[in-house]
Amino acid sequence: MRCKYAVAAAVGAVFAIHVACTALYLLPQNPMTRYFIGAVNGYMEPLFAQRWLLFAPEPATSSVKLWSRYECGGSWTGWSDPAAPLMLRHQHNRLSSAGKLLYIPTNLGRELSRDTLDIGIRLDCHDPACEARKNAEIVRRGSFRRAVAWSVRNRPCEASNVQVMVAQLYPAQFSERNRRKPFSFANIYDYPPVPVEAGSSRGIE
Amino acid sequence: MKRLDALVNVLTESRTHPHTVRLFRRIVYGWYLLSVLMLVPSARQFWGPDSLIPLQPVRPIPLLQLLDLNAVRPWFPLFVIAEVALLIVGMTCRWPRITALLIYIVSMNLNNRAWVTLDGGDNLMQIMLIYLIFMDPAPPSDAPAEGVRGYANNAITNAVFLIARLQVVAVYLVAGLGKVTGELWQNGTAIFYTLSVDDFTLPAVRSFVADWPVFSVVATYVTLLYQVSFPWLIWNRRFRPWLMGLGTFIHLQIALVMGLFSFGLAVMSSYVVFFTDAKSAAVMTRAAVWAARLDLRGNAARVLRPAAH
Repeated sequence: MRCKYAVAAAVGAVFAIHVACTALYLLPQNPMTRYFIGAVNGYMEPLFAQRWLLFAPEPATSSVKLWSRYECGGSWTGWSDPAAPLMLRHQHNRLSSAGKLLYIPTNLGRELSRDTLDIGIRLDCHDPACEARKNAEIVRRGSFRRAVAWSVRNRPCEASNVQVMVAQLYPAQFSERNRRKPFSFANIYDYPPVPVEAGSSRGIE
Repeated sequence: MKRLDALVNVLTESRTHPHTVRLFRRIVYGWYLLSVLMLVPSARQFWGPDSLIPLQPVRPIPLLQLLDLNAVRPWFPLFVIAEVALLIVGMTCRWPRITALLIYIVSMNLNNRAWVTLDGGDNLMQIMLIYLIFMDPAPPSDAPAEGVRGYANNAITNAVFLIARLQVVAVYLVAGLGKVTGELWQNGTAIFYTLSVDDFTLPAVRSFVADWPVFSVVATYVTLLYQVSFPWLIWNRRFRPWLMGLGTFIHLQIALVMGLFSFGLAVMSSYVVFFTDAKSAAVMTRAAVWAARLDLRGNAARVLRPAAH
């Protein structure tokens, strides 16, 4: 019986520690958080991290798209979403890899937006020379080169130059649901055109 | 004192849900198998050397991020093959702990390389993979029942099984409380907005929610009520089947209509931890009968049949 008690005590202690850490980790931030969060995160983060996506407290209200246009044979195409065929495939077959592939351009758009915002805040441009510096810095970023590479891989024609745009689209709001608009409003940011070679994935970190 | 003795005996003398542990293991590994096979046609884009997925900024456990190394990346097909082979072995419940550990390592390597494609379902399943390392899926007759090793084996399996249940409850508790305070959940339009976003809908469904606002309002409140009540009602055996039935319906909608296929299936898979042991045994017996019909040699049936007590 003593042996059983020893085993039960040891397993019970580990159980209690794990459950307590999980509970503290998932608690909303409160005045006591700072006293335990270092130790709790040290235990939970490497193996038991639980992200926002697991709980999704807020519904999705917008989508991020990476749109492109191409210079083919001396003239520019219109803006288009290179991921549109993937979206169509995903809608026709939920078991295909298209659903997960769509995360890639969405993430590229988010990553590029974040970098653009960071650079914009840091440089705080008010004149064209500063804007040119900002664009030059964005173009050097890995996020921009990855976005261009994605667009180049999905080009519809033999292009010499490519331009990308990040569009955050908000669907028709509840009050305008009967107007049949493709989207209600959008935040867009277009980037300078670059030669397609800028999308070479070699060396992108 | 008697109650404490009884508690210690329950914890150490036998495993409380041997069939459910076995079924849960198969369902989780089955989910991983389906997930990896779905991605195989586009494997290069997820794990290949020219993938456009950036590397993760931090590497807390390098062993779980081997595919971030330039020298290892071209060998990604080996990880995929190893994953498929290990998952199949894992589903047979042979060499359970070492197989479970290897499955965790290989799965995390694949997940970490394609980290931008992960959703909440992957997150939940990653945690369940760790729990599976500690759960013994052996038939009750095979497990050592006496001595420190036997007591420890039973106690660890039982405790980790309860932790897996609490983990599912925690997900619903946090998700439910988070939603209750959300404006769109309170005013009944959350489902309308989600099903209007290009990424999480079908064209016909988008038109439907625009034409029938009452549907999205009712669906929003039913979802909210379900998530808030799950952590409490799931422990009640009378409510449990109804609750899991409603949850399965909601997550099928998430999988097929919203297109979050692996997420919907992952949450449904996690419900298995709430099956009674008799129910799990019945499910496995039925699976064995089906397998026997399909497999004339009876190999699959032998693997799937639950072991007798």
